[in-house]
Amino acid sequence: MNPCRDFFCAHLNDANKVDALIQEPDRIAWESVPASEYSPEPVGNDEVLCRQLVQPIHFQDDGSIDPAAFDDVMNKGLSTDRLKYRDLAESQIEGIARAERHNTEFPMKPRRELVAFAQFNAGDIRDVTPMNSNHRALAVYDTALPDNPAHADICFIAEKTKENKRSIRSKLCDVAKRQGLTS
Amino acid sequence: MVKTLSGTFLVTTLLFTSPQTEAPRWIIMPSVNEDIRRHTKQTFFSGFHYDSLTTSVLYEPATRVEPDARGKLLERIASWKTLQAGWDGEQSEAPINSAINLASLFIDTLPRDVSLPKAMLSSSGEIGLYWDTSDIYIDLEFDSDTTFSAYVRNRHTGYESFVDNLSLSSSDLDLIFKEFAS
Repeated sequence: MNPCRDFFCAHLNDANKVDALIQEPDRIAWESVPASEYSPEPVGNDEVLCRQLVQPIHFQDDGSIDPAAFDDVMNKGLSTDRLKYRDLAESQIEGIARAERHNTEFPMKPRRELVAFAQFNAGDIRDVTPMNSNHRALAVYDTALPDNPAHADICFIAEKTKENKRSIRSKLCDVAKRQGLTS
Repeated sequence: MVKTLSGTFLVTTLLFTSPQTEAPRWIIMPSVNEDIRRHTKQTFFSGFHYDSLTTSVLYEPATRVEPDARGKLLERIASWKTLQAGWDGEQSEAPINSAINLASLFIDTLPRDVSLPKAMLSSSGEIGLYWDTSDIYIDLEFDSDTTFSAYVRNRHTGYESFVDNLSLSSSDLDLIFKEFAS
């Protein structure tokens, strides 16, 4: 029995997965058990995660990324690839293909384009705290998919207040800046 | 309205820069009205302690403000009015037009010697303006046509503050801008 796996299986396509996750008392302990039957292992603190950045609006003229680029952490979870199990070249191929699929399927919506990768150290993500608190704010789960065993989600696990959202998104952006963007 | 006063005060003081026509230089702190100083110490930003800010945060190389930078920033934000729901993933919401208007008004209201923020659009449609320096991170979020909120993090001490329901129309805002324009 693995309630973590059951949870992520039940909320696989839930756009508000994080709201349900916040209610789970064992959400931090779940980081150390497999969250998917396809998972190679839970995500270690020394692992690097990469996030495809496909929305040019989130880039500034100076090439920096804005903190709103990672808002998925607050609702459905921020999808990333674990570089330990999928290298950047593979992610790039998949990212370009995914953007093209979107552009074909939704020609009236803003075009997506794989602009860059943000990278995060998993341990740094786990060190992020809510506003003026020592508690955990973000968790990393090995939500592997059948066609992508390297998939992992970064999820908001703190109290969902306006101030925490603002605090945490700015700190997550700092974590990404520490690793740098790859374009 | 003290909260409004304090919040706006911090934004304007921390980001005070050189005149647009001059080369970048170090920020010079203008004289501060004693009323503002007292309010600032007491309320929202009490954790920052005004006096330490003046020495540790304000002396930051200013960013040169290009003559058309303000116009470019306003154009960028205005261009978001054409975006529809789904612009940033299936669940993303269309930008809130009234928030675009308020953010634009805020930018227009910024004194010419305050460095310009960067703009961002959140997936829930709010408009954000932020300053991100080696000393401080300030993030304003506009979600209606009348009010906005401010989040501030001092990068040296780690101390964070947040205040909601700030208003552009407050007399405090006028007072502050007048103070720093002088």
